[in-house]
Amino acid sequence: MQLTVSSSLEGRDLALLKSVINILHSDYAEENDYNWFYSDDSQHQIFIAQDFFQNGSEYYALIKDQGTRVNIGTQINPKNLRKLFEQLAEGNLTESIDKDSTAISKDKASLLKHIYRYMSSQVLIKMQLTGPSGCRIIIDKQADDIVSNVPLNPSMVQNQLFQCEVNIGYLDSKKEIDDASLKFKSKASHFLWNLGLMQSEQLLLNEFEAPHVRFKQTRWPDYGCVKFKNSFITMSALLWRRAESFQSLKQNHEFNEQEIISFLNAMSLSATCIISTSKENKVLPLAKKAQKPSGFLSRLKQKLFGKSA
Amino acid sequence: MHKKVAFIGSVGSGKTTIINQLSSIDTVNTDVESSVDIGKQFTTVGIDYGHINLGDDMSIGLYGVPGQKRFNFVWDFVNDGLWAVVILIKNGDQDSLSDMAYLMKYFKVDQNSTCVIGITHAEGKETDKFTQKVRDLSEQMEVNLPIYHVDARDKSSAMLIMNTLIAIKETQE
Repeated sequence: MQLTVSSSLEGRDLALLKSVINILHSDYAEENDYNWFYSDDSQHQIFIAQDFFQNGSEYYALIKDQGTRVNIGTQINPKNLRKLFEQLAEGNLTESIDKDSTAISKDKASLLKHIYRYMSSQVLIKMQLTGPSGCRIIIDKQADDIVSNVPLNPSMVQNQLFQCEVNIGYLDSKKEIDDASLKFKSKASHFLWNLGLMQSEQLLLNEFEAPHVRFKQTRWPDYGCVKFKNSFITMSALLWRRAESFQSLKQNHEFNEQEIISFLNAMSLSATCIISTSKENKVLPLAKKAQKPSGFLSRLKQKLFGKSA
Repeated sequence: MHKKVAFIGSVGSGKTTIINQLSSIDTVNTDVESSVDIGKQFTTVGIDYGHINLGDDMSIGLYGVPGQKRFNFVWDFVNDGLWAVVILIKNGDQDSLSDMAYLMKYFKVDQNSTCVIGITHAEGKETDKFTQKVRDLSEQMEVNLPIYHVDARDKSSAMLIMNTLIAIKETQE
């Protein structure tokens, strides 16, 4: 089977990628074997690229058929590229979402995992949630829209989505929704932010607690439109500058653990951060623990926010 | 110690209103009756000044500065010793967008700057297209700044802006 790779990388990185593909490529491959090619055109199945953020960058692969993104790490080298290609050939990369797949969530944690999986997938589909009392919600992450046949308020979410069985399905993203009962419309990212805030007991995935898993804010949440606590703004400012793990936020700063969990869940669900799970990443320890704000800043905070400063 | 926060924006973007929300003193302003219909009677032609007194000779000056290029002689004064910048953009106003790019260059706003962009006059009618234009422009300038929809009449919006400026300062390494 022919697997074609393309890339937006340049210079040394591109040369390295091509050389690894050259090594993996065989002119004598059998029909059933995987064989690797590099191509500059758009006929590729795998696209390798690099995201830049302020204190570093992250390489990733986009798997066109599955619509998934696979993080490679903060650097590419022959070892991690070969590993990626071997995993691709074995078909054991992260599972993708099929639009025909269905699931049932029975509690808050399971529902939020499904939503996170949908939001972090690159597949162009809509997600449909159907609750026990006939409530129907359709999330369209591409359009950042959510439509429903009931108002999406916290008590509805708590009683009908978090405590009951919810049927999960997917719809073609191009399919128009022709259902007059879906008359409630809002921004998906705002709703998902609020859903994340409602989970303060645990992170969306257990692995997110690992010290090598780092969160980096890609976009400031619009705090003019979503609910927040003052600590969220400080955490945003931190994750704007550097990637931090759950552990490093807990240990190096004086944030309340539940607030960190709510904040990271809200960021993850509303797609305002990237989550790097590469074990090669290291969270560089802060040179010094976060210091108390200067006299000027603490006075300003005291003046503006009083006791809550 | 006196530090300056500049609130910069085009006509009717809410500078004076936000400074009024924050200032410990009556705002000194240079509003005059508007000669064109901007949806309100008075507008800032020079500079607004408000003040947060922190005691022990510490204070923050809140300077409301018009965003139009013809006022750049005022910008020079505010730019000297500037602590933070707040750029206010009127929702849907293309002129505000053009001003934004120019202002960011003038005030040398970069990824390390203490700066917030506030989109005003959007209450309940936030348009994704306009917000996206602001984001795109910000990205073109290679910065990823906080972009908030704010209501200048609401004190919580003014506090949000100040809270963000403080958080950015606090986390500067």
